[in-house]
Amino acid sequence: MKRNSAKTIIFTSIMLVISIIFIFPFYTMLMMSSQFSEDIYKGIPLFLGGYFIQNIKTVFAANFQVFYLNSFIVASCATILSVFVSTITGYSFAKYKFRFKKQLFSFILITMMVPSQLGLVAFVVEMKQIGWMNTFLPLIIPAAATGFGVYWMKNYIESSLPIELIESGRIDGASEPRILFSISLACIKPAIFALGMMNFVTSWNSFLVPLVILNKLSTYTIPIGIITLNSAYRTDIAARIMALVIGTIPLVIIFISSSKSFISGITMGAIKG
Amino acid sequence: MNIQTIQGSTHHKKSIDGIKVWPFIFIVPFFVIYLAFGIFPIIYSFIISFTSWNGFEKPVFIGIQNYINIFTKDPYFIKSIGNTLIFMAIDTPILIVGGIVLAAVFNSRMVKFRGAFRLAIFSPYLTIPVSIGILFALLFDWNSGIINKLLLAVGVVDEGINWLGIPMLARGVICLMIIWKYIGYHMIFFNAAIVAIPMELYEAADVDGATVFQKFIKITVPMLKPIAEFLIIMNIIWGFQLFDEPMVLFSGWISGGAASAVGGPGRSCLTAIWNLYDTTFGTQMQYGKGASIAYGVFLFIIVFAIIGYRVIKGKGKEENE
Repeated sequence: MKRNSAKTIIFTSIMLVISIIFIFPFYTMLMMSSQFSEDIYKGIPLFLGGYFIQNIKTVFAANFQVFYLNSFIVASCATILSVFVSTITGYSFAKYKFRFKKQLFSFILITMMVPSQLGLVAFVVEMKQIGWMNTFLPLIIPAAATGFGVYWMKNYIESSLPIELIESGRIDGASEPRILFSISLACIKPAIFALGMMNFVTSWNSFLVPLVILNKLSTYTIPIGIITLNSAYRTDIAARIMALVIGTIPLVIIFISSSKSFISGITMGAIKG
Repeated sequence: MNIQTIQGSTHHKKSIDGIKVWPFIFIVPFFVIYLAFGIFPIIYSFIISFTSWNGFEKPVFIGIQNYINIFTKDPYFIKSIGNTLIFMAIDTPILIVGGIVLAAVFNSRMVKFRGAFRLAIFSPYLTIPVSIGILFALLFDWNSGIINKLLLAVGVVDEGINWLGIPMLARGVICLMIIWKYIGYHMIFFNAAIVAIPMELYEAADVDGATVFQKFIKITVPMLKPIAEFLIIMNIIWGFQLFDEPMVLFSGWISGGAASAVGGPGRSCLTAIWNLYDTTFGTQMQYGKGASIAYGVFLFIIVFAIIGYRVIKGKGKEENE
């Protein structure tokens, strides 16, 4: 017993040290964001400074809320649309029999292997031709069709939506969409929620496509706003770090509130396959 | 009676039609969107890759000139692939071994507060990639970086090290950044796999008097092989897509854009996708060449994924025999 408790202390301390190393950069980021800019260079900022509120004010004085709002619009719309498309597609592959089902699903699996950057050059040309440059549409519509989303929903629906439920709906004379949206949906809510979280984070973090699509300041999302906006904050580096901290908050909330479904979501495909 | 039967059968017919029609309606949005914004650009890019085009004037068909150019004349394409391979060669073994060790420690019942630790180690994976680049730029800055300050304070060095200015050190920082970001992800995969190992195996080993270390080597590691293989292939695919973090790391964010350099010192950290971005949308406007780079990178991804797959499978065979 004594040996065990000693081991517990040792192992827990090891994990503690490792965790501190992982958290350290975030910690310094948070501490730096609360300093007076010039003080950042003086020492190692291990404690909160007195400029927390001041820096927040500076960030919002530079219209950071515009980027924030843009990111929210893009990430929310992209999440809702992609979850919707993934759900109906996954449901179809899980619960119906139709021609070329196998081939079409294999095709979806192959799309997961193709890197999205392969068509990037022509994607931008396409966006120019249909007049979608400097709009949010290129960040929302294409993100709706992800192979992973379909794969994820199909797997979940197959294993946790009983066919009896669907059939009883049919006997009651409900139409197919009605069966999906008012009867089946309750069963697959956890999968929808987890996929929604994953999609939101992906969209919120997305960098390369917004970087080439958005050229107007008023359309910038947070990652683009942070990286390109050197002039607005001048040399006020602490305020810019504060902008980073504020931009990360939604991710922290999402992760703390749903880390379990998140992690199971990420590992699902591999462990099963 | 008669009427009822007829009604019943039409009703039945209607629901059969529904079963036949709706699955197609449900899958149409996915395929329409993917054809329009996935397949179409991929094919269109392939056509563009045979032209010389700045994106505005009329494209000029030049055959496979772009491909000859990037593979033989242009110094940056091969260099960017080489850089990417260096990062992969260093990171992948550390991520796999580190991930397994972390997962094993994490999984032992000796550890308390697991949820909090998992959150801590996994958090870099979820953070905005842009902010990871900025964080590391701040940490490793020559003059004001915390790493140099720590080293100076401890007395390991007499003057600050120019981490981001010396090619090999800059590469080291990139590797560190990737490991920091992805090791939690690897740990979680291995952890899920360890949990799935049947307890009977360990119990049988206990009966035979195996030590903790023996059990780890003889049971845990072999059982983790499929996941390790999956992660190695994924590392190859992701490795070639690396862009956000290195680009931001050298964007001159701290100095206000003054020290921004494409590809880091001597382009030692130019990644494949960064090269694609820079050629097409960055300092050059060569759409044709950019498209050929995209296909060139894709070719390397396929080749290395296949080599990786073969090596893994080949090794497996030898061990079995």
